Amino acid sequence: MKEKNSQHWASDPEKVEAFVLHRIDESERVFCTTHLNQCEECRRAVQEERELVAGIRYVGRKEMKLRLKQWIQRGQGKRFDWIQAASLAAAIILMLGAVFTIRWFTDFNQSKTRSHEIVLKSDDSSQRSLWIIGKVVEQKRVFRGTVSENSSSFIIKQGNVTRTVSIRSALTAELPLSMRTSGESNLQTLFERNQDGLQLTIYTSTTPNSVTTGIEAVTADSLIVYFRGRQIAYYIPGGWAGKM
Amino acid sequence: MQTPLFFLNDDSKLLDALRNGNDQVLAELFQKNRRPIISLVLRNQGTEDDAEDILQEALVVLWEKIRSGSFEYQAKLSTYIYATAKNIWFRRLARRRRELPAANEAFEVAAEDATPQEELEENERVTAVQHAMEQIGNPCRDILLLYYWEEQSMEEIALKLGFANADTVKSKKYQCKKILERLVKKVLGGNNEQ
Repeated sequence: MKEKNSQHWASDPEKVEAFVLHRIDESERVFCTTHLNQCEECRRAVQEERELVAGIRYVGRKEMKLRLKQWIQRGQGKRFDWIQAASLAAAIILMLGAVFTIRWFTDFNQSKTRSHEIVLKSDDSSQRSLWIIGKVVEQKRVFRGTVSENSSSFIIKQGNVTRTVSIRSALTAELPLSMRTSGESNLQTLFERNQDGLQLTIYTSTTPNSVTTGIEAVTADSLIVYFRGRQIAYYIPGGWAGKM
Repeated sequence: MQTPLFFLNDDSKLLDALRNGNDQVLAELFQKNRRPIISLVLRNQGTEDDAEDILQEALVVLWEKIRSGSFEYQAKLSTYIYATAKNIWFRRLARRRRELPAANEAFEVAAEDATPQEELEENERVTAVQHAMEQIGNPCRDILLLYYWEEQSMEEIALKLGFANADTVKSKKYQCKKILERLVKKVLGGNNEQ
């Protein structure tokens, strides 16, 4: 009897809420679901919680849609304000020109490049890490700052700023199943911040031995890594000093 | 010829903006995806207004997924938005078909059945919760929306709504939920009396 009561989890409102909001781990979920199949009262409690959450979320969605409509209308109104649009365009051109000039003379000496695909996979702020799929960059770039290698760590110096990037590779088999993707050009990478700077773990399908790595280029919020004869561009959310 | 580095594609920038709470980016996504969705809906018995409406719904779905952390980038954003809007539209058509059986024959694509979410939304108690939410007032309304819809943590809610700490929000949320449940019972009682 005692054992039966201990399994009667749906009498705990917090547990019911956690179950409905998917805030319990997989093993507990399996246990709860198995119990639900045998307990009419628990099923009712879960259904009532689901209905409550669905009602609240419906209200949220409705409000969001209204807000979106307002933003769209505001945007459409602005679209026909040609003077304002022309002023904005001129300001943007000036700003871009300034940025181009500054970056040209301070950061890089490089050839013209093709487009890059950088994809944020998902993030986990509690672990201060970030999953990224980097896509291979087609053409060679040359980094004008200095990069010195210390085993697998790279110390990057640009002006007064020093950054450390550690690169290691691992097998895709070590990735959780849900994180695996297909495609040759997708090299999944785990970004982690540590005391010294950034740690990058690049996952590949073949053995991680005989890996050659290097840093090819760096900006305030991005870098290109040379890895097994290929260049991979990464975007660093929040920049080097920011929170991931 | 030398050019500066540009790493980010448009999708990454937009996703990053949404993750950082810049929700107005959705209006930009609306403009970018409007044409193909209008074309889809016009080809399938809808109007331009229908198209704009379902595109807005698709964008809200995207926003929810990004906020809850369940969004997985597997295709271009425009592809994801198109697929979501298409599903919403065909489900809406299917619902109309159930309501007007004679209008059945002209559909180009077989519509999917209603999702469990949609079935829930049509449920009497869920409708009662919506009415109760109109009555509950603040700060309960905000707390419940932030916690259950935006899935924000107690700490985030405390910061946003100016509560002393997460524990205060937790106990307030408990009270608010009880009030909502009482209001739902009242709404359902009123409905049954009619």
